[in-house]
Amino acid sequence: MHLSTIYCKFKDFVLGNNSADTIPSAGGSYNGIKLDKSLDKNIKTLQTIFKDCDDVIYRPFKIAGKVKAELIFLDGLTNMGFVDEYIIKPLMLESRMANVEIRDEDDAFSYAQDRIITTGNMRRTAQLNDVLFAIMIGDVVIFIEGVANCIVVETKGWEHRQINEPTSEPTMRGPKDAFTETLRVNTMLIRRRIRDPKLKIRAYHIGRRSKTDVAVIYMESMVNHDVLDELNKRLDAIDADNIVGSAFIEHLIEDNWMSPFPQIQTTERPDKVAAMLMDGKICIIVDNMPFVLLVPTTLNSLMQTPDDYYQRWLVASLIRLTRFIGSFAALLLPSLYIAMLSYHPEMIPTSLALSMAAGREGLPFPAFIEAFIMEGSLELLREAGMRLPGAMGQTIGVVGAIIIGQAAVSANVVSPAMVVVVAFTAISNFAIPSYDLAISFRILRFILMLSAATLGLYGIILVVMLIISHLSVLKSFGIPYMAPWIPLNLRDLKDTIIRAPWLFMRTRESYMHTQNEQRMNTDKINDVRRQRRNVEH
Amino acid sequence: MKKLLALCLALMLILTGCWDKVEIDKRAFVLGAAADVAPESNGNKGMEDIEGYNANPFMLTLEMPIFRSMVSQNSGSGGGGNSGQVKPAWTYSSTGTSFFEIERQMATRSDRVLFFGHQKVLLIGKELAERHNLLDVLDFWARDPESTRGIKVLIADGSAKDILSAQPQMAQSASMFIADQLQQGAKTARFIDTDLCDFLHKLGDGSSMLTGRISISEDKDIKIAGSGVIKDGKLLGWLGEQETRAAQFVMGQIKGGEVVVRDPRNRAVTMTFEMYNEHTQLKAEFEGKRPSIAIEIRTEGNIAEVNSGSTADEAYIAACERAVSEELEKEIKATIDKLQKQYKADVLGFGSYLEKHHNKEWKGIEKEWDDIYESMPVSVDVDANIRRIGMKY
Repeated sequence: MHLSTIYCKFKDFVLGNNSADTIPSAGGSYNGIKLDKSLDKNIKTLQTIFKDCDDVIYRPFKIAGKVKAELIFLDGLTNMGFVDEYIIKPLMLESRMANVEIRDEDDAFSYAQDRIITTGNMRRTAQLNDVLFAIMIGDVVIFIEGVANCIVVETKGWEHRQINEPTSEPTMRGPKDAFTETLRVNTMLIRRRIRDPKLKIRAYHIGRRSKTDVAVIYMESMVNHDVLDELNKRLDAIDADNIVGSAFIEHLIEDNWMSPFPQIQTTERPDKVAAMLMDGKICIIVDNMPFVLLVPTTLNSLMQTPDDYYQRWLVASLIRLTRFIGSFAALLLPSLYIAMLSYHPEMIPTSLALSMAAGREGLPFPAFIEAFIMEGSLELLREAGMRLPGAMGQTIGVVGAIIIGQAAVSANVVSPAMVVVVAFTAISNFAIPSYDLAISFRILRFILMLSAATLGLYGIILVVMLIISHLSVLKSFGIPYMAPWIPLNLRDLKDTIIRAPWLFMRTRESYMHTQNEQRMNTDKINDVRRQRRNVEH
Repeated sequence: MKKLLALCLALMLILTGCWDKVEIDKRAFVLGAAADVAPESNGNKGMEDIEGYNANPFMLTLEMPIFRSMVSQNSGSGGGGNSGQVKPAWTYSSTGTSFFEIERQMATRSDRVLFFGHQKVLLIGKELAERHNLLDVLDFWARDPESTRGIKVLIADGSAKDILSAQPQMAQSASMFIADQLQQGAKTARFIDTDLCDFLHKLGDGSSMLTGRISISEDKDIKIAGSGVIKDGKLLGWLGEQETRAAQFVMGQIKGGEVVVRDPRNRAVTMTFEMYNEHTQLKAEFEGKRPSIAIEIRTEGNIAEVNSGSTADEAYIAACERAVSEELEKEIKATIDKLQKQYKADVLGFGSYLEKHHNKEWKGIEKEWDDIYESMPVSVDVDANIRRIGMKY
């Protein structure tokens, strides 16, 4: 059976064969309904819709003591002080003091809008649909007797987390701010770094009921429009009740959901996003998630950290080299250990082979079972450590690594060499900067261990070939995942295992097909340097 | 159909080759082997019924480290009172008609699979080397996929088993000791280092060769010095330590070593020359069918020790250089003479030199080479250069 057929059957089974039209439309039922002239009627409509929603506040009052009006907002999402000070107070009191003649309701409306309400962002609408959404996102809606329109004043203001330090991507020399759960704050953090009108922030509301804000951000002068169109198409195709965080969107728009490799990068660092936007990538921010998505993604970009660019190039290149070696160790070390011990002891230097064999003297399990026990318990420790409260998590890590490892050796369950291998693998795994990539390496590590146990080094080579061929055909939004290695582009190797000096990074990566390939112009700098040299000689 | 083909192709990937999974702790690492002629008295285990065959001609001794003893040494901070009593290595010997047969007999006496992938040395007893063609003796190791071509092959002056059974003080096993000892080539030229590859190459060509000699003293000290002369696959005799050095000069194999000569200023004491570099060039001339070879050797080195208290002026250094050159010339001439007249073995590779560089003439003399070699005139010219005189001044 073909894979895609299996996939379809699987999908039908999991999703219960839901097609889009079986999801009951949420806001859709109020589409096209207009507001009424009568205040009471409007309020009654809203009260029916918001039945049992006790956090909706109705506040009736009179404009300038004459015209009946009512203010509706959601408690908790609205900045109350702001509503009191700049909306209710001017409408009730200052309008009276201004002593303006209000002849009819329409007059009152334009009067309120033009001269009384002193807030920045307000608009008028006649659509019920629009009104409902405005209330749900924390704006204040003002109804006035005899007008089939209402005023929507932006008064959003709720309790939210401050901008904190990035927890999953710390740097030595980089900025210390990270994204928060609030979309607007996040776009602000990016705008602060790129002050160019070409930076576009396109808003989406995805999710029939959750109506989650999603922002697609890109540099209009850099972005590859094929990628952008593809992204928009995929985002438009999402039709679900609820958006369960950015991972949900990530899964729905990624190219190959069967692949163990993440094809969309996530980050909580605005500086990284700004740099990536400048390289023609597109950023997707989902409200209520401090992790933003970046497309298209290559394996190379998952191996980079912001610190690479904040350090001097030689240091950065060395660190990157270490990281690449570490990632190979994280992937291959336990399987090589199994293969060498079970199949190819002639490949180990004699004295090491002898001490390894001596270390395994009297052990009950073959190397493969031993490795599985240790790697499995490591995964267990990692999972348990996540669940435990902060300080205890560290304790468990120490207890697990040292005590259990040592005890297992003394109890003659595992060999000392195995403990070294497991510890080294675990450390190497943390050298991979992307958490998503590190997880995929962990999965592949177990597959490789299995193949090493059945076919030795030959099995490892087979699986590695399989992985490499998978990576070579994998694409992220049309961009080859292994670029610039596959297909090879020598010029783009400047920012891979080595990080070339900035002076050599004049151009953007060509595989991104950006509209503007020039990153910097070094002519002037070179001129200045040449002059300086001439003076010195 | 296509899927079937794909499946077959995939199966080809995983069903090829042989399955040889044996856990490392279930293997017995053979570190060294000693091949001997089976003792006369012992002779009833093999295939006596093969007609016309000398039953049980071979005795094979294998040395394997005992891991249990390594473990008790490692963890013996407090409790290891008996760790000294466990032998670090186990030697096993048995006789048989072929080495492979002997190796398989081992399965009746061991819980582990013999593993030759880490074999370091192969010692061949003097008697075996004299009586059997070494190419046949080495056949098992040449065919076995596990053993490497880098196995050091040495001829034992006496029984090879005795040497392998000796337990050196500094090393874990005799085999490891021998393998490490052979790395000392840069310090002395008194021994020659040959591995399985050299043997198969030279003996396969039918040429003669020099091989390392190993012996054991009364108080169980292993010594590797001198060399054995092998012609037609059999051991003819020995070269002494200085003769071995001389032979290596001709072959251009010297990596280091020392030459002691009489001090030019005071004949009663000696001057020691430490060489670190050597270059040998052969030149052949033909007088009709009769070749003659001129050997030019240039060597560089230091003054390592002077017992006469002479100051190292230019004249003294020149005198020393002369003395070293003369001493070496004398030694080399004597050695070549011994090889030509006594052993009649072309172990220094004169024949292969002529074959390579004077192929046309060689074709004409190839048949009578053995006769020609015996009486071929060889001249030696050594040019010793002293580059440094030590830290004294």
